[in-house]
Amino acid sequence: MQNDGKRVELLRQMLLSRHFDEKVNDLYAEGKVHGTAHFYVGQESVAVGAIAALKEGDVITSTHRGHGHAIAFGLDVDRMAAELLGQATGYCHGKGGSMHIADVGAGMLGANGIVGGSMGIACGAAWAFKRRGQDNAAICFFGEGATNEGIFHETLNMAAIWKLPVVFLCENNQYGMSMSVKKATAIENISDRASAYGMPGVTVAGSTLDEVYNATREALERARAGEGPTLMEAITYRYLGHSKSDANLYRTREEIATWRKQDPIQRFATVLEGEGVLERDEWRKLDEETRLRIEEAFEKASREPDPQPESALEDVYA
Amino acid sequence: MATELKVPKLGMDMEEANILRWIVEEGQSVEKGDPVLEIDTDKVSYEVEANADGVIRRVRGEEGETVPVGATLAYIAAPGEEFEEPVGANGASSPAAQPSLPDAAPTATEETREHRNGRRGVRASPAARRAAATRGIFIEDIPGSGPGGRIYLSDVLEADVRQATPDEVPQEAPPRTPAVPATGAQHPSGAPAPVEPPPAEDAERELLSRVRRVGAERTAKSFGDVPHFYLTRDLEADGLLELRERLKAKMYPALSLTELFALAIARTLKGHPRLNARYVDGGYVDLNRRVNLGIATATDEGLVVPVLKGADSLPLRELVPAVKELIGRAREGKLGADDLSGGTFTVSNLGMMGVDAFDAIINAPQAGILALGRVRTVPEWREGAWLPLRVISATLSVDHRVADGADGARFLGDLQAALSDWELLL
Amino acid sequence: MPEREITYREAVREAMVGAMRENDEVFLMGEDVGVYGGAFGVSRGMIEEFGEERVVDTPISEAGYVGLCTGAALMGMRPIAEIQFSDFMTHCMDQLVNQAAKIRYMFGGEGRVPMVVRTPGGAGTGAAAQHSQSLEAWFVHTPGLKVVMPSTPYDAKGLLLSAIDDPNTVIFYEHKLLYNKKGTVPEEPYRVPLGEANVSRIGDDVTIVTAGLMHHYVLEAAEALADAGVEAEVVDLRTLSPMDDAAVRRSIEKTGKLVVVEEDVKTAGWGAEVVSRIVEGESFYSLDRAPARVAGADVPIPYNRDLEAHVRPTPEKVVEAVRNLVDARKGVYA
Repeated sequence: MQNDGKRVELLRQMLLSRHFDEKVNDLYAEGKVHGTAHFYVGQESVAVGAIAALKEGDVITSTHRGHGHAIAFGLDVDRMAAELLGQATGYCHGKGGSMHIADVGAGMLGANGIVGGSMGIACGAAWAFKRRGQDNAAICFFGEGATNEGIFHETLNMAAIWKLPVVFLCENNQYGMSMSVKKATAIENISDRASAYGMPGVTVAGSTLDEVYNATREALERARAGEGPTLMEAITYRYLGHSKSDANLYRTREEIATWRKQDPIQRFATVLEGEGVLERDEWRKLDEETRLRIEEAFEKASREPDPQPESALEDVYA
Repeated sequence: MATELKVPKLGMDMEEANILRWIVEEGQSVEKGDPVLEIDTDKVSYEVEANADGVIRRVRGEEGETVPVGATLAYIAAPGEEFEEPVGANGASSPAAQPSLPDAAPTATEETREHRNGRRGVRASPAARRAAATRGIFIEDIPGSGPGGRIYLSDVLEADVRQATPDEVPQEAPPRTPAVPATGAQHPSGAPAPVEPPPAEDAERELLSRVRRVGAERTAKSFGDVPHFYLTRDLEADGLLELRERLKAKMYPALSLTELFALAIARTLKGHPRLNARYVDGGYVDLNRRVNLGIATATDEGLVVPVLKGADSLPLRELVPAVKELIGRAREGKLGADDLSGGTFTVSNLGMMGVDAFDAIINAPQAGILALGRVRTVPEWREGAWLPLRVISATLSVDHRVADGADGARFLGDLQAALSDWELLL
Repeated sequence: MPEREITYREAVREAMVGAMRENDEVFLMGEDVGVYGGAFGVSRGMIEEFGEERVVDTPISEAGYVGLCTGAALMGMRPIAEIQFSDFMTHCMDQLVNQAAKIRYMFGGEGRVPMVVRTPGGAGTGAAAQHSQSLEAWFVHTPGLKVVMPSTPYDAKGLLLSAIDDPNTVIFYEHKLLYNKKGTVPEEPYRVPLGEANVSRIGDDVTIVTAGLMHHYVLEAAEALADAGVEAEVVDLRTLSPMDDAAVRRSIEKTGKLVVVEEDVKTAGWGAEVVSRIVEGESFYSLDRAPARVAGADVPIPYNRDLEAHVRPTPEKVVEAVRNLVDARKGVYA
């Protein structure tokens, strides 16, 4: 369990993540950014809770729905906002956009536009830790949709036989785009699949930050101890569509409303209130403060320079 | 029904033409007789005129492209007519007019030439085109050695050497200065063609007109291949000049000395068949029965030599207008290919331009050419006194393979006699 | 010291062993590369020296371990992944094309993937359609990847060492029929730079551009042509991407004739790229013949020996293609 200051910081990260994606959603609606983006709204406790269990030198790999992972990992919202607007000062200098935000040097090995695309990369990072004798581990985020990709099978198997220090963290947000997990798999829990690879599988309530944190911490301890990977499943829900073009035809308003009632941020704030860590008006203040921080980030980003057109031809090769 | 506008055959031996420029664009209206485009053969430039009233449709053939005789250049559709290109219309008339390139064929020269002539455009490798352009050689003039007459770099280089260095050049420099500057004829025998030097800094390089380029090639070849010798003699001209004065009053338009000379030369040649002949490889001489007299004519495009056919049998009354008409058309650039072919002997008169005397290059395969200077008055010691005598210098260039000095001297003697006494020509 | 001859297989191994001795971050990973020594025996004996931590047998999971190597490379290691037959590259296309090739670019110049993927390609072994392909053009078509295809033991060693050094992902094409080819190879480590073609034969009459096994076919053809009076200049590209078209251009300026000999299928093969680069540039004006390609037929590789030979380039087909070009010119070569 974290100290009080750290716990307020976790709430702050969730709020930043929420406001970031809501802002991006607004900007899309206004036509001020192009391309596409996938929103993490509703899932914030998974990224924030899991990443809170990491230590210096650990790494993560992310997904197409990666803003929350990046913010939780400590990436700068100014540079993230700049990247969303395609500016030269963005994380990828305008070449990546929403789906490729990364900070390799810091250990954020990249969002990834391919479902399951980063699972091999996470294993490779874990392989490097193991080969180099480092006491570090990797968290590999992916959605439940990725568990039906071949690479899921290949990487879980390899990580298990080689006991790689990696935590496979499946964010089961119920839908692979429009495909319900109930229709896409014939098993009760995604974590049931772990037994096929000879690794522990655990399912947690993703909207409860502490549950995610505790389970991740356990899995990481196991990984660092050389006991190999864990398949973690966090049950969660995305409030917004799959991407900005989603008309939500595959689910009902009622379903979304039900999930909103167990909102992870509300929940965690209430917990902090109960613990006496935070007064209600303090977290209202924090909410407003983080909202303004995101406003400021995008305001700042909008004044950043565009990349030089010729830079499009650079960075293909090192 | 749209009317086809085809590449006209302008001479017996014409097989293809080069499109110089389109005067009328697709979609423009024309009246019958309007010039539509300008074409160029190796002998002549020609304006193709509309053969119907209407609108020009489906223009074919880029400027600079070579097209076969009979190929359809355009259709002239009646105003308002829905135009549809007739199926198989183009070139259906004869195999020679087939514009498409035949498939790769064996490389026999005759066949190759035939294919080359029977197609639109020229198939040449990029390297060949570049080499031809930098050397100022017209790619269409080069026989291609590849399948279907494709022109390769080697063909261009060979053509360049051929043009620069005649096949057979006398071991010694020619004894006399030629009247017509012969391009490149100064190369010593056997020497390789020099690599094309860039123009000097203070010089501007100009691409010769087609007429001049053809002339350059031919004179160079003739001057290199044909062993020339020259006989010069002053012809007494009093009788000639008096006759002209007399006839001037009777004939309109007034006749010129050139025309009178043409008559005298043509008729005198009848008695000198060796000078109205051509050398044939292998040791033969073809003696021409008729005299087809070439008349060297300066035009803006360069020297051309229209031919007066059957000059020996034309009475003066017909000969004079025929010569005038030929020269007129030459100056307007409207000669047909037939006007330029078949000559057996040539006369070149520069007298009206103040030249005293000059040597001309034989217009091969003819065996002789007579170069005439201006009328001069010279003192003649006659019967114990100096008398003024009007003369015209005449220099006869002869192909030594066909005739000797004595043959030429006798011809000049008889010509002098005719000029002095016209009745001898009857 | 006397010149030493070793096989292409040994040269590849020597490069890997040399690199692994030099740098602890280099490791080899692939199916049956350990005790078995690799399907073609390339890594034979390596596990004894480096242990199973660095000569790693993998499950049959090409996407998985190429993905793992991608991640390890992103962390700064120098993985060498062996794909048993180049046909199996199809399994790991996402890892190579969407991940390894693009990571640096997508991330705005941050991160690099210094990975080598070694794989034997090509036909001629009677292995039929799924074990005989030459798919290298796919990777030439992918910005971010380099593609190497050495033809000699000397180049195999020198190019593999350069590939391992290179900060980018390099697809390293070997050829099953080259493994037993012998050649002079220095014992000490040396590097042959990526992206530099080798003019292996000088001639004035025609330029033949090739790579890999085909280079040997071309040299054989060139000797036959020389007997007929045609001197071919042979350009062994060695690296297909980045392509040393400058070397081809220099040769074309001299010969005016281009023949490309490639084992992959003709349609959209890398030979088309060679021809295009010559034709669309200034060198077009040096061409005195239409360029020609000798390539695999546009069919899968069949099993039967005669059928297989029928669809592959051969020295005889190269001779014929060159003769078709030059013989059209009368007298010059008579």
